[in-house]
Amino acid sequence: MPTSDAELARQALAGSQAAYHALVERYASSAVNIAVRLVSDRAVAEELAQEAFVRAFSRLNTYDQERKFSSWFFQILRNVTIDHLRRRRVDTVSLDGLLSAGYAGPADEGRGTSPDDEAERRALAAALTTAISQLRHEFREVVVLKYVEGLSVDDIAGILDLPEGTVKTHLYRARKELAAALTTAGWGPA
Amino acid sequence: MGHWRRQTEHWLASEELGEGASDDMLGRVFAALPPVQPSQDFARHAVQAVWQRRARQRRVTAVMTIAASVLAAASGVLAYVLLGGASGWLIGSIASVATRPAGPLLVATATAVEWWADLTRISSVIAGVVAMPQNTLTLVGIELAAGGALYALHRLLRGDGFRDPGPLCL
Repeated sequence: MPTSDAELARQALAGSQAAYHALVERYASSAVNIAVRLVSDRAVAEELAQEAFVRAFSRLNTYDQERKFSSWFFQILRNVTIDHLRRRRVDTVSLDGLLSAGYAGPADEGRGTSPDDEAERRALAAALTTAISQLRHEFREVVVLKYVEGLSVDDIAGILDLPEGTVKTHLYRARKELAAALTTAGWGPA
Repeated sequence: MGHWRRQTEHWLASEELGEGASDDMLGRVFAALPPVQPSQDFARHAVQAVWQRRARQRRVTAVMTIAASVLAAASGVLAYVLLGGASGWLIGSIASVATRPAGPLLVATATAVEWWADLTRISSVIAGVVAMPQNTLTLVGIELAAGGALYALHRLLRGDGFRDPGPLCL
């Protein structure tokens, strides 16, 4: 049975590097995925994710073990990302940066998909990337947490420190904007 | 029509009709975005960065503690020389504070700062009586330097996690 996040956090606080390494490995992928979709650059996203892990460790004594570690950590990551965006004074991400960072993803080989399907997936990924990049920052956050990370509205509300109703409203409006953008891009019913 | 176009069209149609299922359908459309994997050494670098910063903070805290203790002790001695026995109790207090471990040092520092403020008032009265401007000026300078050092130590220790930093704010 894998060690719980709370137990790893407790061991890390007591000075165990191995425990913190395990925690970092557990959330590295999610952290980089969230960050890369909120900023324009994969390298920057990795730096932000690393900074979030450093900050999380320095505040580990404030982590309430009754709470989900993921929610607590994503809140820190979100704040690190916002700090970065404020420093850069940008609210929208650079599409070129995302696409050059491989946002549309590598060729999906080995899953048994046809070349046509793969080409279509990549085209959809590019269109979706464009649509996400055009969302307001508040909408982009909820979309990434909900549809990329698959978090619940309750968790998202905790991370963003917003009422659940506000998160639902943001999701609703973001979905409408995504739908409009994809329809304009030619993905709507013929 | 390929799989991804079909998924997207289903979602858009469902969104148009305001169906509850549109949320799940959009989730399937998002599957077109493959996860971005962190670089291979990401976890090792992150943990290294954590431990390096931790070691640096500890070194800075130790150096600042020593520097503040030395400065506080030196200023106490100088104050004693300038004002005579009136500041003897202060030297004792500072010596006591400087020899305590880091945790209680914070509390003692706060107390010492309060005592220092009291002494400043007493010093002003004595300085007025002594009426030697150069001594007064020196004393004020020493008080400011020591007070600054103690305050810097107080802030440093506070920032280093000796106190609960309160609710999460970055």
